[in-house]
Amino acid sequence: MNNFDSFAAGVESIIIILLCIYYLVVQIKGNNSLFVYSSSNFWIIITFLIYLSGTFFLYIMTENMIKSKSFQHQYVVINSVFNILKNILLSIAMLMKPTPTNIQKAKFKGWDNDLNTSKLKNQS
Amino acid sequence: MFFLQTPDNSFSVTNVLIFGTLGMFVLAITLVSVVVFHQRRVIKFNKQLQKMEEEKQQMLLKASINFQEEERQRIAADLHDDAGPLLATARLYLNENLIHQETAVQLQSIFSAKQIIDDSIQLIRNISHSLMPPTLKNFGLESAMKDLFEKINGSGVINASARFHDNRERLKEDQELLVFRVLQELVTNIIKHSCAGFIHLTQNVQGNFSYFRIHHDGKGILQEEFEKLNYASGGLGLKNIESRIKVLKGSILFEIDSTQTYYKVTIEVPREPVK
Repeated sequence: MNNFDSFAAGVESIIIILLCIYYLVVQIKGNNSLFVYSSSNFWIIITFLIYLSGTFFLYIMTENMIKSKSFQHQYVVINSVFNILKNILLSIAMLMKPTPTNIQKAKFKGWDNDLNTSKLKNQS
Repeated sequence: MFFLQTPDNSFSVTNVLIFGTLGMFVLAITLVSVVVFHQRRVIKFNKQLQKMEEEKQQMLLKASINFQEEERQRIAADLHDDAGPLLATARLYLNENLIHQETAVQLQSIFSAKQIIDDSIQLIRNISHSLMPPTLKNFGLESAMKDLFEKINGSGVINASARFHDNRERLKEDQELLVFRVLQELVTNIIKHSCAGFIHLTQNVQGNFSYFRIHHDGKGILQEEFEKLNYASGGLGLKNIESRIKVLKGSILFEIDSTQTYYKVTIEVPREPVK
C-alpha cells in the first residue's frame, strides 16, 4: 500500500452515506405498512451506511499516515472488523425472505403469458 | 489534516482514528435504530387506529342490524296483536250461520264486520305511515318536518317550529329520508331527555352543502359527550344517527350557544339534487 487518495475516498463515503440517510428518511416518511427491516434493501443500505461510516476516518487519514507502521496495523484491524460486519449484513440481506409484493410477483409469474395466450386463442 | 503529519503525536492520531471511527459507527447505529423504532411505532399506531376504526364500524353495523330487528319486531307485534284479532273478529261475524239468521241480525253483523275492517284498514295505514311518512315521499322534507312539528305542537307541551330558508331544490329521495330519520331521532331525544320548552329547526344552503340546525332550550349534549355515548354499549339512537350521517357522507356537530342558553345540533349534508 504505497498510494491512497483520501480525498476521493472521503467524498465517495460522504455521498454514499448521504444517499443512505436519504433512503432512511424516505422510509420514515413513507406510509409503509411493512416493517422496514423486512426488506433486503434496508439491510443492503445499512451495510453501506455502517461500513462507510466506520471506515470514513480510516480512509481520510490513510493518505498522510500510510508510512506509519502502527497506522498500517490499525488500518488492517479496523478495515477487517468492518469488512466482516459488512459481509455479515450483506449475508442477512441475501438470506431475507421475499416481501409479500415479491411473493405475489413470483406466484403470478405466468399471469401475463396466460393473458396473451387467451388473447391469441380468441383471435384465432 | 495537517496535525496528522507530525510524527511526535502519533498517540493523538490513534485516538482520533479510534474515537472518530467509534463515533461514526455509533452515529450510524443510532440513526438506523431511530428509523427502525420510529417506523415500528408508526406501524403500531396505524394498526391500533385501524383496529379502532374497525371496532367502530362493527358497532355501527351491529346497531343498524339491531335497529332493523327491533323495527321488524315492532311491526310483527303490531300486526299480530292488533290486526290479527281484528280480522279474526270480523271473520266471526261473517260465519256460515249468518245466512240462517234474521235479516236484522244479518245487517247488524255485516255492519259490525265492516266497522272492524275499517279499523283494520286504519291500523295498517298507521303502520305503513310510521314506516314511510307519505308526506315526505309526496311533498318533501320541509312538509314532512312541518307535519311532525305540528303533531308535537298539538300536545301543547313543547313549542316546535321549522323554517326552511332555501329549499327550492329538494335533496334526493333517499337522502331526504335519511335526513328525516336523523332529525326525527334528534327531536325524539330532545322530547324524551332534555325537558325543552321549544325546538326550532332551520335549514340553509351554502355552496354544495345543506345545513340543518336544531335549537332547543333543554338539557342537551356536546360533541365530546356524543362521541363518548357513541362508543358506549347501550343506546341505539345515537349510533343510528352516526351511521345515517356516515351514509349521507355528512357530519354532525353538537354544541352550546355562546350565551350558554341554547343547545345546537348542526347537520351538514352534501347536496345531490334530484335530477
